[in-house]
Amino acid sequence: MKTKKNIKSIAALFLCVILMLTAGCAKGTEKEQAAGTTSGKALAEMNDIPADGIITKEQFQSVAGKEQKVQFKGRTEDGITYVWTYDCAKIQNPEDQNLKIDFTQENLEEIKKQANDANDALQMTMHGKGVICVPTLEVTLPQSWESNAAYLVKEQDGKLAKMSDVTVTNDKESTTLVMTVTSLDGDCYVIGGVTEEQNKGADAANQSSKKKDGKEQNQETQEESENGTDSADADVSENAADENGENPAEENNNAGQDAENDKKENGQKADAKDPGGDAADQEDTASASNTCTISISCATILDNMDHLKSSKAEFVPSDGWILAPTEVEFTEGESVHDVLQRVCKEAGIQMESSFTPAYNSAYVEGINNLYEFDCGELSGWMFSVNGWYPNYGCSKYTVNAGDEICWVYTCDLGKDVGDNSMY
Amino acid sequence: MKDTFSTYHPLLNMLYFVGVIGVTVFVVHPVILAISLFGGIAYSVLLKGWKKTVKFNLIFSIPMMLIVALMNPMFNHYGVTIIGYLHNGNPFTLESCVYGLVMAMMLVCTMIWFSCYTIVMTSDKFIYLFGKIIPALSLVLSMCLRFVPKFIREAGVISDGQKCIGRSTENGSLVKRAKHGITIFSILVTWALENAIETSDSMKCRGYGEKGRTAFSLYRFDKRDILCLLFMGASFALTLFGFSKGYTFCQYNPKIIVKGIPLTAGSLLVYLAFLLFSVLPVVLELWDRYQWKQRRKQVEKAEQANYRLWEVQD
Repeated sequence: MKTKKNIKSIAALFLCVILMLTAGCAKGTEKEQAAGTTSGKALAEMNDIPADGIITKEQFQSVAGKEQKVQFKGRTEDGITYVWTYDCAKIQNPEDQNLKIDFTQENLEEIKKQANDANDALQMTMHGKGVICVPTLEVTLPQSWESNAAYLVKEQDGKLAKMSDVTVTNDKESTTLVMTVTSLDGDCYVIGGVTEEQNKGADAANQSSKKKDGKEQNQETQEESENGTDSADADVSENAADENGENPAEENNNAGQDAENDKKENGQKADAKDPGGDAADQEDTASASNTCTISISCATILDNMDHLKSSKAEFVPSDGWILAPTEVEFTEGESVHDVLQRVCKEAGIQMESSFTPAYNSAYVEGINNLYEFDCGELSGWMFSVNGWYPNYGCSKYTVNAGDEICWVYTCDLGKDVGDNSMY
Repeated sequence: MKDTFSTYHPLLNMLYFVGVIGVTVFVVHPVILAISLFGGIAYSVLLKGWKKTVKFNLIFSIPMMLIVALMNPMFNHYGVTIIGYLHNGNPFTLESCVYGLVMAMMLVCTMIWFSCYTIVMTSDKFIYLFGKIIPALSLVLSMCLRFVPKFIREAGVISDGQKCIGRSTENGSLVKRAKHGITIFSILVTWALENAIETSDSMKCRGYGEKGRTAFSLYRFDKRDILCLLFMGASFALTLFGFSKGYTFCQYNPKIIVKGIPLTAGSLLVYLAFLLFSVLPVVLELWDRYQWKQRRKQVEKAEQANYRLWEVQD
């Protein structure tokens, strides 16, 4: 009798559980469907940016990974139009993107002054966070600029740091600025000047060797330390005419001396990136196929030594470079994680990583015995490729020829290394 | 037979185990752990005999030590001395190997000391110490600590009873034996649940935890206890002082730094103090046995003089 009763009750319980499970599942699918419909407008090739500027995660989800490009067009009251171009094949982890930009061309005397009296400046205020791939932004101004070269810069720690080069095309009544953007938050500035090629003509050739140094340092704007300015200053005074176009980022050339030397070879490449030198640039990367540059730096710890665990102090190099920028070869299809692992193995640098199923990617816990949380609870390793901090893991990023991979230690969840996507 | 240290005041017993297990768990110095292991094994030999101790260590401790020592370098990869690389590309380092060994040793030490603790700190001592301060918690704790031994004993009783009515787990086909085993287990669980409720009811009926309730106990804090406490306090304080001074500083994480392996004056002091502390119960017991022998000898001498205490009546 008793056992029968037991069996009955167990069966009832079992049924209940199944019922609950199925009910739960049904709810889940319902939700997904709802999300699918409310995301509403599927993305066309050319889309208008909505009033709030937000393109939702779901919208990007529908195109992510496909071999196509999506464009988003926006227009302000004073006649500035801007177009974002997203390469969908490179989107791996869709997120909401706020693509709205507010433009200002007034009251920028301070910025111009800071950038060695630049000719033109344009302030772009954005309202988003990190980008999900590196989009191209094309801004068309209703008036014509004098400048023929420009940089996209951003304020960081009270200084201007370069984000990317800007290609300037001048028409009679308008100017088109084309740039790549690696962050969608806060104020960015396009600072324009006139390059020496136009001003000085033949002199440019003589100066080009010196220019190399200056250019190199422009690339180092992400770093914090305050040395290595003297050589750059010399350049400034010598290339008086070139100041407008070339110097905006000179203000914050602050890389370590070592980096400067190691970067010497790269100078060539940087030089070739001059407006009009695009063809040369392509040749350059073609010849150097399947090599990339990798560096490992923990320079941010130098500013936060008081938070560092005392047993780890000896592992922080005095200039912050655990591995100065090095050119390495890689085989097709290797990820950033593979390259790091191999480079560390070859150089005898300790490195620990573990696979994290939640992100379907490897997570780098420590390099050179400097681990996450060793320098405060917001510390850990991050990587950037060509200035962008990808919003997915390092073993999902496939390295392309000529990529510049930087492994940096952050003590502030990315903020101190130029990634604001977590704030 | 009770050992001498068990006859000391429960407070001393408690303090002693807290001290020795605390040091074992929090100090990762290999020499300190070795001393603790030595003390623990010696005491467990005194309490449980050679056979049981050796059996426990061979069957349980050594395999566990090996497993823990090998597990650690599989999952931790810190360290400056890279021996090789694992299949997933992470380094296999000397530091994590050594730390694994130390952890294994610590684990075994702790287990041995706890096995001594359960024999010395009986539940009446525990209740005596904490019954007044935290009545409910101390009852629960003592019930928990007693649970496994009691469960095993009761399982024996039940299985004997079942055997008598022909439901032994040793007879019949596999299915039948399993069935009998399940019956015994079901009885055991029912008994355990019932017993827990009965215990709490019975304690409630006796006014346990009520204000003004007194409890009978045989424990006195006498001169012997004071002397022992003073000795314990002195040696433990000396040990702690040495730790705080960093005489036995120890670190495995990026680099192995073990201070006091080539002996220094400070580290020698710490080792000696901790050695005295950890072998205290063994020394007390041996001293007691020695004294017993001496007294016996005296009596035997007296016997030769034709004087027998127990024959006075004759």
